[in-house]
Amino acid sequence: MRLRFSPAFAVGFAILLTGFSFTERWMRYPRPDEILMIFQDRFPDGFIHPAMEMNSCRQLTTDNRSFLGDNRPADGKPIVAEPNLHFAKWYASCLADAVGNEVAFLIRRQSQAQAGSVDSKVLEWLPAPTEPSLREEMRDLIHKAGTQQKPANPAVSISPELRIYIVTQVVARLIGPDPVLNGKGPLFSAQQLRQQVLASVDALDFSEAGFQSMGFKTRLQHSESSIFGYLAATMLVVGLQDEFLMQ
Amino acid sequence: MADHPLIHPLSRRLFLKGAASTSALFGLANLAPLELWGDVASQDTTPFLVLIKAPGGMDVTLGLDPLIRPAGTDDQDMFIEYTPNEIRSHPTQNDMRVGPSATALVPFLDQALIFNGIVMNESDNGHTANLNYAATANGQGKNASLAGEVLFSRRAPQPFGVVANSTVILGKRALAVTQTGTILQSLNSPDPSEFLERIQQAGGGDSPFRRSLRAISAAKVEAGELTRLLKIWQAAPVPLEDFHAAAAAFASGMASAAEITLNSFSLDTHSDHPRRHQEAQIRVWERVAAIFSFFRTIPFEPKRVSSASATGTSLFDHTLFVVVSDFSRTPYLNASKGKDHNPLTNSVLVAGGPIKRGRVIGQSRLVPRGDSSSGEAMHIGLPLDYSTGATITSRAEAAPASVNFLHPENVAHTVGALMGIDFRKSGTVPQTTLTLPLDRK
Repeated sequence: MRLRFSPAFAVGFAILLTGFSFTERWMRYPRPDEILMIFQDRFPDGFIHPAMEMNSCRQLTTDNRSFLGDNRPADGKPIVAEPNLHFAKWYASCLADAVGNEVAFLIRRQSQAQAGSVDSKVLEWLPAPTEPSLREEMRDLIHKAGTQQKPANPAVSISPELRIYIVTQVVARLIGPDPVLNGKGPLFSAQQLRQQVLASVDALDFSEAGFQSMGFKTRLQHSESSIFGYLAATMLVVGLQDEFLMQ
Repeated sequence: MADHPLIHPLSRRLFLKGAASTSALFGLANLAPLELWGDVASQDTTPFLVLIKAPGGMDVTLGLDPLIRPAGTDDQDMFIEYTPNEIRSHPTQNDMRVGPSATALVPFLDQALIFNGIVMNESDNGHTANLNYAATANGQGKNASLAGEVLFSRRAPQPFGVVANSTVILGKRALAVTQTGTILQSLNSPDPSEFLERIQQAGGGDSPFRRSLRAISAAKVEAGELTRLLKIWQAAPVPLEDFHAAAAAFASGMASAAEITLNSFSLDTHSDHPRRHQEAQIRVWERVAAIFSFFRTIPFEPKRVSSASATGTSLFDHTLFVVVSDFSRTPYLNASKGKDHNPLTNSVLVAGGPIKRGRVIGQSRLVPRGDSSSGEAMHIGLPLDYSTGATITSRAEAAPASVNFLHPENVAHTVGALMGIDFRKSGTVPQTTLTLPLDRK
């Protein structure tokens, strides 16, 4: 059954997430299967890959339970005070798998679309910008990704304006629109978060080894040449923001 | 209430009398210095600790506590499937002896303490409770296993926390645990460290997740060394196992305590004991010896690996191993030719690290069925005089102040002292835990 976004589901899910503890604020990180649910919720037309490699992220096993801030049955408090470095690595890898599967699905859709057209599902993920030049640039990049026309220098193939647009879209989709973000406290601003995400994604250099080391190169065969690589990198960085993890 | 037929009229008086004498015993014991039996070399660094658990309950007579059946007893008192000449001892330390199941340990006995006659409980309360008691030195569920307690007592951050291949008892301690499987799998899966470092370097505020990202950056050198070591060992014909992960974590600085559970051996032989148990126990000790041997092959100098000042010590010389099981087994065969649980005696092997001369601590004895009030033979631990180290074999020798049985907390206390840690301060063992005298070189 495909999960669809609804306010009631969002409230219920928020209660589910905040009902457990992990840090001094008695919040905890959602389990990876909950992350997948969030992705399904926020991107309902995506495709969560049921492949074997996702199993380690879906299940609590002896190998991963200690990363998750398991609660002690005796007093309900977290078993570890803070996530350790293995938690961060394992969490990022699971999230990368989830994002990779989702974006690979979009790439396949676009590859199968009629020549010159943009698949409608892709546009549900990345709505066309209102600004004409940005809209044209995005259509062109999506079309090239579908036809495997790789630009010579993918790192600079996306204009700064379009990068900001993609970051804004993903932040709003995964965490919330500006009123929600600005409501997180006086020291938090939506603009600051977007700048931080933008800096992280650019530092990541999705066309280079840092990005490929996550296994994306195999999964996203065209990512290094396409707008989808930047989309995937942005989703991954936003997914690793505390504002996403601890909602 | 005193008229109740099931309550002895003097029970309260007896209780108070017993409590008073016990308090006096514990009080005097606290005056004893924190010392140990066994020669201990001076340590300029705190050793690592590996707790090895062998679940199921080992017949100690086949391993760490070999016995020769006393004259006048028979198989119905104690079934022993070996002859006295099958008992092996260390070439230079004849008092360090093991039964035929533990011959693999002989090369290591000169650097080991064997604790025999450890009393777990007066009655059998099952595998889990006894193994947890042996591993934590505390049956109350408050403490972590010895590996966790070592980490807790040091209070020094370790990137991996406790390295383990199974669930670790953490009690009330908030400690991280890293599975050996995760460490070994990391060799064959994409490492997101570089990716996460870039995100971390791009800025952002302080948060638990940001701190974990910073931990990745801070442990970059150690993590690289860990990977390097595992790749070297991976090239060997023997496949990587749990203890390789622990050794790499120690040598690289990612951890200082590990817990390895030997799960694949069937020691709980309630039937067909003669045919099955000895073979199973042989494999347990061969496994333990293999771990010791591997640690001995790794040159290690704390903080000075491969430096010109290296003194030729191995990782084994800097690691204290503690091998525990649930309990021993009843001395005679039951109707199914098996041996049942015997919590009246148990043995623990402590080896490596700062121990520079072997020693056996404690003793057990057979109570033949003719001398037993229950009519069944018993294999029991004997009390010790903690001031001299002598085993007490008669009631006449029992001086109240310094005589008591050997329990897991006494062993743990010894382990703590060998590690340079006073477990009484951390509450791992009770403040009143008796201490053992040490012959220092």
